[in-house]
Amino acid sequence: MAPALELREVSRSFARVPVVRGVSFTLRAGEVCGYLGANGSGKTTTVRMLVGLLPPSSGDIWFAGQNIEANPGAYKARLGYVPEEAYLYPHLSGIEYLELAAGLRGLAGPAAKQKIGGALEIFGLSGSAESALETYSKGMKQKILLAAAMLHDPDVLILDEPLSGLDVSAVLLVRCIFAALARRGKIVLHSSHDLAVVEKVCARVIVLHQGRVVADDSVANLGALMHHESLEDIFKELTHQADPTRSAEDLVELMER
Amino acid sequence: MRLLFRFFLRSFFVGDGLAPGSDPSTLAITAAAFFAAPGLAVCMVMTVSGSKLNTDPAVAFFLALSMILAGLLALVLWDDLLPNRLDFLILRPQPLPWSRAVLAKLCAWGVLMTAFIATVNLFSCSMLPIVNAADQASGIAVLRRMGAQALGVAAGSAWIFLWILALRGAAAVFGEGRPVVRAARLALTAALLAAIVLSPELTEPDIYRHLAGAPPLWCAPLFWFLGITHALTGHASAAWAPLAWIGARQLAAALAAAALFYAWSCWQLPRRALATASGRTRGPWPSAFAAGEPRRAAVYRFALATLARSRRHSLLLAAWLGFALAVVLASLASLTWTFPSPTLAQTDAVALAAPLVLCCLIAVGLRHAFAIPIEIRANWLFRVAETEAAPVAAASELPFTATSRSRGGVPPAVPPRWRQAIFGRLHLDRLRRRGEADQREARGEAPQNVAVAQRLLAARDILLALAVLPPLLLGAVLAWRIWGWNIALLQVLFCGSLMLLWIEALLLRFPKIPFTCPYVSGRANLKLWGFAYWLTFSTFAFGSAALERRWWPHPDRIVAASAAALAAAIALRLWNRNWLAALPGCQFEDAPEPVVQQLFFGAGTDLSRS
Repeated sequence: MAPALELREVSRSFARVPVVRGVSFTLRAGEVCGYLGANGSGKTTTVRMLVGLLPPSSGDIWFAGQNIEANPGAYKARLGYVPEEAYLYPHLSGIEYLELAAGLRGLAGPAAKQKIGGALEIFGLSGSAESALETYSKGMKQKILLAAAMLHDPDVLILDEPLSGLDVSAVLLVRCIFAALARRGKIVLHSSHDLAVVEKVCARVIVLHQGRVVADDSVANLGALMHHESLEDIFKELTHQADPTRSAEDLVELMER
Repeated sequence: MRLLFRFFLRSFFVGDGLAPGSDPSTLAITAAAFFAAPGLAVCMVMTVSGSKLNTDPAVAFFLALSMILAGLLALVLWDDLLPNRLDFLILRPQPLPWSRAVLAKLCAWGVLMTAFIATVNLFSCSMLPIVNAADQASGIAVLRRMGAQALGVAAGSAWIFLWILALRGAAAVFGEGRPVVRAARLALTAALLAAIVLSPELTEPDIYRHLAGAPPLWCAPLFWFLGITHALTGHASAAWAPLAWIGARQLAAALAAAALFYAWSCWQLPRRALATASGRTRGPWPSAFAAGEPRRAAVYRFALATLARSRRHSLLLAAWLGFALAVVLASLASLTWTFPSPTLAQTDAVALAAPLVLCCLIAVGLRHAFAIPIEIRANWLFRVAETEAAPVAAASELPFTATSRSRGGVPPAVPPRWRQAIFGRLHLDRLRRRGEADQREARGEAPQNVAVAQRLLAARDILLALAVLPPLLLGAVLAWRIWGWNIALLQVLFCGSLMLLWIEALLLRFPKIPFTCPYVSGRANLKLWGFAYWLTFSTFAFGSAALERRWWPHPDRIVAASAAALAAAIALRLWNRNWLAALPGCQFEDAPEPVVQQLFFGAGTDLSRS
């Protein structure tokens, strides 16, 4: 049976303030799923619970028919993660960081070296592999994070704003990587604000609003259901966004006073 | 300009060392009180007791103290000495000339150093001339003494500060990340810290006279600037005037060097600030000795790189190294001064203790450094890579645990009855879980918690590489040169076993990966336990060395004692390894709330935290 990742009524509160409320969905093997929501809607909190950095206040997360709490190590061994912010160890070089990530996953020797060298070359980082990460641009850091997440060939890849700071060619590359992973039966959860990319990359989107799932379907089905052509219009309606044209005018007028 | 000046001045007090929510002015006042205290204490003791220190040694001591503290301050605030990349990126787009920002930074440094030197020397410069004045001395003469002493300490402190400023500029120009630059800074910090511990010895008239008679190279600068003080007060000895001239010339040279490198580095700053991904970062050389297990080797290399490249951690380590050097030198010096002709046994014992002292204090320094995090928000990497299950002990991989013989495991080294007696409940728990572990083995799943233990054992590897091997080698070479190869062998055996015992004790129940957990200051409760720690350390280091010296005629005793220490170290190691392997995982505490510094270019100029 192909493994599936399932959230069952997962909730999370901080200081009694609910941030994620009863979120349930299932990610199947070979699926690239977009996870959308406005700022503060609970996307990053869900992602942190999915990768085991944060325990849910209630509800369960199941992977391959087993609650991940029962054996978190086995689950994490099959998980790759790219966090929202590129928090890296600034004193390490790119290659050292990837070696650390590989070592922590039990990878070493020529096989690990080959993987690291290949990843650096494909992402165009070979020339700066020995420079300290503190000198890297945002996009370069993001590439290092993507490479580190994929080194151990995970079955589940959870990416929180993975394309942030990447140049156009890198974005195209990452989109193709998602497709290649999906073809190999991996699960990819792509949490993002970039609706255009999500529309092109993800076969399915889950929209979160104020901690609750308000839509979970393919873009085409959602468009047909809500009589909108673009994901942007669907998103605006689902999350009750104010008219951005009006807001922009208001701001400019305010500054002119 | 004024706003920038105030911003830079305040930024010296707002850094990693300030707890969130603390007021920088409170830190400034506390620091001022701390640095002014020695001068006040000495002068008060002299006033109350009616005793008079010999003036020259006392002035020399305060001058040395001021110079060392000025140097240490510059080294501690090394990254703030020049306008840095962040300053450039934030301030360059603002509508003000860049030169004004550089000038503001220089002014802030000038004010800080002036205030610092004034604070350190406030009581010594104002009270010492009064306390030590001859009964018939006029007010003018006392004022002249005060002024001369103030000028001497100001010149000496400025000299050392300017040279460090020049070094900082040169480091920025020629490559900041170079290992030689980092090593030089660490060596300088350690030397200054050792000097600060040894400086009170200057107040001993005999030592002072000995040094002043023919100043060795390492303390010549002290006497140049002491020359300024004495030349201005009209000292009877004519030898001070030439020294004062040397001091003045050296000060001018330091000023020229600082100006040159400061200007050069500021001129190059735009290029450095805007450059991306430049320079090569090489792993420190002990990385080559990493263990074969990938997790353990990864953590080992990460910890080594952190120690070598993180300013805060390397400074902390330098402080402990400086302390260790000071203890060794002070014990040698005090032996000479306490006993005019020390016996061979006394001298030998102090020399034999040196490697143990170095090992003990470097190991404590490393253990201290491990507790201080680097980029705490980046520890998610270790947390998501915890690919081991919690409660399942991997019995087959652990020593002292029974395992399924049918799978060809290694027979346990110690009979079960002994194991139960030694490890008690822990062992019973493990036996209870044995069935589950065997089931995992039967399913072909990898043993789990052994991997947790492997990562945690990397801390031990670091201690072995940095705190045991170098002092042991140093001790062996010294012993071979002084006493011959047979004593050197005994020294390696005895010290090596004691060092292993010490590091096992230090790492007892340490379930953290170095540098990945938040630091809770005060947890060690030094106020309560400090004396006990010191007593343990000195008994361990110096007592062991004295015993070793006494047992030289009986090598069998040294071998027996070493074997006992080694057995204790192995027992501790196995107990600790079992304890670690039974853990659900490495310990990571929650990261603190992020702290955001704001510039407040608007109406308010206070730096606040949100």
